[in-house]
Amino acid sequence: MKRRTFLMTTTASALATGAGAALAQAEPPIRIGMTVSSTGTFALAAQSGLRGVEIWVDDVNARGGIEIGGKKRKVELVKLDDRSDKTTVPKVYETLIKDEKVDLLFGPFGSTLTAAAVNATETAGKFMVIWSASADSIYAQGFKHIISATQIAGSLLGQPGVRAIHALGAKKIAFAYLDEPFPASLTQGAADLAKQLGMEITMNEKFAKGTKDFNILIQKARASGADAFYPTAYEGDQMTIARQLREANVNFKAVYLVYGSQPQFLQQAGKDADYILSQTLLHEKINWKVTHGLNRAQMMERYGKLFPNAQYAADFQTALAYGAGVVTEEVIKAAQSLEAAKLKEAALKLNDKIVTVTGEYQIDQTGKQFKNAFSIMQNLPGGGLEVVYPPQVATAKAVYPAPAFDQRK
Amino acid sequence: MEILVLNGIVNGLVVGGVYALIGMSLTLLYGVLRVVNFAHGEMVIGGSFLAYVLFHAAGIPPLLALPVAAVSFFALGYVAYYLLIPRLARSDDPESMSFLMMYGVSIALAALMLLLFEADSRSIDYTFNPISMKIGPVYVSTARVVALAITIVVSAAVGLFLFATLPGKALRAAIMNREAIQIMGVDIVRLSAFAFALATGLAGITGVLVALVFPAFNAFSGPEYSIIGFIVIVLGGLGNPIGALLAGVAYGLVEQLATVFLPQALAQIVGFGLLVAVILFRNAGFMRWRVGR
Repeated sequence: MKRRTFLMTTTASALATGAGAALAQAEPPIRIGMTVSSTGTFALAAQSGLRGVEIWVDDVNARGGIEIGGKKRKVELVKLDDRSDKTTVPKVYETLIKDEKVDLLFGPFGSTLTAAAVNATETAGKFMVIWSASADSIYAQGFKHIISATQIAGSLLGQPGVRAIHALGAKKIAFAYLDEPFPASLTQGAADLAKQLGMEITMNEKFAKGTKDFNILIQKARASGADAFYPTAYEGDQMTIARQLREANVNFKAVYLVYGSQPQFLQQAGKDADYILSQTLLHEKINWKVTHGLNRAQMMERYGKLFPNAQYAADFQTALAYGAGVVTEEVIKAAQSLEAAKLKEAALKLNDKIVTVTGEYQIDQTGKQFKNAFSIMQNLPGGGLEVVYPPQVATAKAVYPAPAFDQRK
Repeated sequence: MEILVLNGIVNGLVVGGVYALIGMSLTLLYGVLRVVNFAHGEMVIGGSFLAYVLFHAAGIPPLLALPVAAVSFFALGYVAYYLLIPRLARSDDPESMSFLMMYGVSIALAALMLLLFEADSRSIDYTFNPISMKIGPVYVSTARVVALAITIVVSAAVGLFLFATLPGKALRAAIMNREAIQIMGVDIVRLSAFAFALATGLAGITGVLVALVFPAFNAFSGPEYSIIGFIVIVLGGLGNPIGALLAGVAYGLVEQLATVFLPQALAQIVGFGLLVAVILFRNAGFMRWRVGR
C-alpha cells in the first residue's frame, strides 16, 4: 500500500469510527493508539496484526463498547505509520500520546520497533499492550506499564517442545542449534527447562551459519544416547537435517524441528517430515476453549467478512493481535480506569483467568508473557498434522517412539 | 568413536568430491582465462535449481538431469564467454576487472534465481531405493555413494581429457604460458571460450550433485560454494586442476573429521586454518604449481 493511500485510509476510518461513536453516545470513546508499518520490512506482518486488532475493535463496538464506571465506552483506534523504521517509532508514539491524546497504546510489530516505542510510552506514563515482541531484553529493563498480552517471551518459545517430549517419556535429549540469536535463545530456554524437568542433556552443540552437512552432528547426537533430538535452525537447515536423518538411518524416539509444520517445510521435505514434532500457533486443529473473545473459527469468519479483499489469509500475527485486544478489554474492565498503574495492577490480577484464541494468559511484574505457548504438532505419513500437546487442545496422541526409518512404509 | 571417525572419512570423501569438482572448474577458468569467477557458486546453485525444475515439472530424476545440466550449462557458458569476457581483455587490469564483473554477475544471477524461485529453501523430494546402504558399520546414503561415483567418473574424464587429448593439452599449455601457445598458432579465443563453457558445464553437473548431497538450497546459497571453490584452488595451487581435485578431497576430509573431534561451529575454523597454513608455508599450493603469467 502506498503511504498516502495508507494514511488516507487510516484517517478516514479513524474519522468514521470517531463520528459514529459521537453520534451513538455522549461518552467519549476509549482512544487506543498504535503504529502500523505501511512500507518496509515489517509491513506485511504489521498489517496482518492490525487486522487482528480491527476484528477486536469491530467486535467490542458491536457489543456497545467497554463498561467503565457503569457507562459503556466504544473503542477508537488511532493508527499512524511507522514505515518499519525504528528511528521513526518514538516520534510517532509521542505524537499519539501528546497530539492525539490516546488513552493507552498497542505496541508496533516486532521486538525491534516495540523496543523503540516503549521509552516514549513509559516516559509519558502510558499503558502499552504488546502483541508481537518476544525479545526478553524488553522485559528486563524495568518498564512498569507494559504487558505482553499474547506473545510468549523468546526464551520460553522452545519450552513447549521440551514439555511435550518429556510428557511422552523421553529421558535423554540432544540439542543442536544454529549460532544466531533466535535459535540460540530458543535452545537455551529449552535446555534450561529440560534440566528442571530432570532430563539428561546428552549433547548441546552449536553450528555455524553456512553449515551444509549435518551428518556428523546427527551421528554425535545418536552416539550420545539421546531419546530425543532437538536441532534448531531455519527451514533450509531443518530440511537438510530431516533428509540426512533418514538417509543415515539414524532413529530417535522423537525429533523436534521448530518449523516442521510450516507449509513450505511439509511441501519440500515430503516423507522426511513424517513423525517430526514441531510447533505452531494458528492451525485449524488448534482450538482453545476460549473464555473471552471469539474462538479461532469465529475469528477466521470475522476476518473473511471484514477483509474480503485482504491479500493474505489470517495468520498467527492476526491471532496474536486479536488476542491482545481481548486481553486489553478484560484489563480495562477489571481496572475500571485507563490509568497506567491501575491497568497494570489489573493485568496482573487476571493471570490464569483468560484463555483467548492463542491460549492461556499469564504475565509477571515485568509484563513478560509466560503462557500463550505454541502448540505441538506431529506430522503423520501422508501429510496429515495432529495437535499432540498441550492436552487442552490435543487432537491425537503422539506416535512415540516414532517408527524406525526401515520400518516405515 | 570409531564409527564417528569412519563416518567422518566417508562424509569427507563425498563432500570433498563435490568441493573438488567446484575447485577444478574454477581453477580451469582462472588458469586459462585469468578470470576470478565470483559467480561460480551461483552457477553451481543454478545446476541445483535446474535439477529441481526437471524433477518437479517433468519428473526427471537427478541422474538424468546430469547430462541435461552438462549440455545446457556448457552452451550457456559458451554464449556467456562471448558476452562477457573478451571486453575484459581490453582493460588495464583484467584480473581485477574480472573479479568486479563476475561479482556483479553473481548478484544478478542470485537476483534472477530469487525472482524465479523466491527466497524459500528448496529440496528435491527424491530418494534412491534403498535410501541408504550399510558399508561396514556405517550407513551411507545411496545418493552420496552415487554422487561420489559420479565425482570420480567426471574427475577421471576431465583428467583424461586434459592429459590425453590435444584440446586438453592445449588447455594445460594455456594455463602454463598463454602467450607461448598463441605463438604456436593456437586460437586462444576459441580455446578460452571452450574453457569457459567446460567450467560452466562442470558447475552445472556439480549443482545437480549438490542437490543430492546437501538436500536444501536457495537463491542465496551460491557465495558459500564460491568461497569453498577459492579455498580449494588456493590449496591446490592456482590454475592446477589436479591440485584442485586433491585439495577438494583434503579440505572435505579435514572439515568432516574436525567435526568429529571438535564442536561443529569450530570445524570451519580448522578448514580456514589449513588455508592460512598453506598460504604461509607453501604458497604455491599442495602441488607447488604456479600459473604462468
